[in-house]
Amino acid sequence: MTYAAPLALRRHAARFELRLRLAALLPPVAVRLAVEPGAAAALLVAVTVALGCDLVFAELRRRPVRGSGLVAALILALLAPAEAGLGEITVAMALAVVLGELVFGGVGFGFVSTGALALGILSLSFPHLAPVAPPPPALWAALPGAALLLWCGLAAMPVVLGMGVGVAVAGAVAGWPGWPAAAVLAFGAVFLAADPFGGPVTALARWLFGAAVGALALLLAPAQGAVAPALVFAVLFGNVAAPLADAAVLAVDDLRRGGRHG
Amino acid sequence: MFHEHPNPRDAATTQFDRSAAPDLVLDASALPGLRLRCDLQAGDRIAIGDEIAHDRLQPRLRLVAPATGRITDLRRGLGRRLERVVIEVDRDAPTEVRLRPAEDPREALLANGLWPVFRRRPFGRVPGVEDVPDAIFVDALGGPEAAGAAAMRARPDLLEPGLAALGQLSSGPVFFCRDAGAGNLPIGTARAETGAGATMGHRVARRHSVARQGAVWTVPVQSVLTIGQLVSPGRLDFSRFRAWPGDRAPRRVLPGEWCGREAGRVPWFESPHGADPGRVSPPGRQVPRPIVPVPALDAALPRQLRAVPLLRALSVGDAEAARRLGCLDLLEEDMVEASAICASGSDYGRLLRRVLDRLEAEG
Repeated sequence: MTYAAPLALRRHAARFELRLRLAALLPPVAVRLAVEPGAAAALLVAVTVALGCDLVFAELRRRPVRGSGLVAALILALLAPAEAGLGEITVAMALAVVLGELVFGGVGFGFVSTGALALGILSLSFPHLAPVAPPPPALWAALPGAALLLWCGLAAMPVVLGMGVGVAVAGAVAGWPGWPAAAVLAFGAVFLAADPFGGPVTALARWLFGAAVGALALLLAPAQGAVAPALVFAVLFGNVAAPLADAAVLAVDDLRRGGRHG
Repeated sequence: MFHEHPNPRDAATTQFDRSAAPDLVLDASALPGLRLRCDLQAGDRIAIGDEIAHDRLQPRLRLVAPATGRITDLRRGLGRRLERVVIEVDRDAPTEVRLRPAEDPREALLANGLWPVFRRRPFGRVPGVEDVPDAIFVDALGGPEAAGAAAMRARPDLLEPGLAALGQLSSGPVFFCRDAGAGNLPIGTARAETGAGATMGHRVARRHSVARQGAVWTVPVQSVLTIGQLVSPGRLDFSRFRAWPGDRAPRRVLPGEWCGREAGRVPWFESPHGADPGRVSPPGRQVPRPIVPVPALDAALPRQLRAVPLLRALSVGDAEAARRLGCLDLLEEDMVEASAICASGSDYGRLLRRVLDRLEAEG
């Protein structure tokens, strides 16, 4: 069978998951480096630590190096505050890659989004280093990558839409956060919440997950304050609850079918 | 003549002409669930319609010679169970026998060796001689180039009697499954099923799921045409194993099947799975890779099933979870697309078979 190129991309997205996600993240990272050249050191350290951990575990397990920690390294480089020291970046990155992925056997076998975990560890361990919103040009530069991920299905559309619903509802209750915060939330929806390895896999659970993350991110954020730290913790909370949401959807399936067939 | 191609890929477009007949080969692995007993020897001559073997437990279930010729190879395995027969076909012998028009389609199919064209879901075995399915699904999928489509173009008149005979075997409806967007054909009382989904698993899950209870049969449309010819004009004609007269469209060639490994031999009952063992799984040590949940995976499996949870259950061999997630609607051939898409590199057909075997053994 022959496929048109966009369809072929969609069909083979799973096999090129790492490359596609890196390609989606490269433009915003490049823009941030252009705007804040000081972030280059943090990026370099994050990438080195991620690859180093991967290499160590690959050696221990006698498996090929996958380099999957790179996605988390780019997210960390994009959202880490400029005042974060290299040592602090190292600690956050190493803990996130090891505890979020490698101890489970690699990316895809764990249950949290490694990028969100790295940011969460950074701000928990060093309270003055809460995640910051990427500069607006970087957010614009993330648009093509976001479209790519959504088309390929590497960012689940129901999660993103559900998050829109959650933000709208919470915004109606707690007050509209303003467009800059909304842009950060949209970025977080595609690159953090819709991480293919951190969320639920059934459609209904994805909607619920997205709505819960969106609402929590807005409600946890201080009034008129930065929304990025709240977003990170909302995503981590959602990741932890995701298997439960999936299990609930499957249990409801079972009940419905059992009822129909006796 | 059967033209040999240096590159097996080119063999997909190979044509037979009717004057030349390739050897016919039967592997018992293409007939799961049967224990075949055969009293012939290599070198025996047989005429079309002669009994070659019968099932040990159900002697009414017979296999008959699809052509006149000579048995050149006959292999038996454990318990003298027939494993493989190769028939060298006489070029000049008639390719059909005339019979009395059949009264009871069940007896006619059993006696004339056409019973094993059916597959029963769940589990994918040849059904027992007394089985009555809740529905029968006719497989006319695979696009205009498929063997079934070519056969229907050649003999559209046989479709309706064939489907009518199936209606007498089933206690429920007969679903005539075509690709989405395919046109209409006269199908009598059978129901057209032209919904989305490229596999019979999609159609079964949508129209008559057997995930919880019940059983349905599937049958390729070429076999339905052969059945139509058997019950209506009363002729036994196995020419569906070759190209149909006047038809120049290529057969649906299954990768790794007869074109490459056994050039010049045509399987007589084709294994529906289209895979010989060892073709799909690459040799060497498997490094576990994750399942990346993408929408393409959901589309590869019936919508009624939860694709990613099911694939996870199959990957870890959790038979009970797989049963609850609806794996009984599926057979190996339905998993080809999912195996191609999934980043884990698993052969889900084989994983599914392992789970189905365990569920079948548990009863």
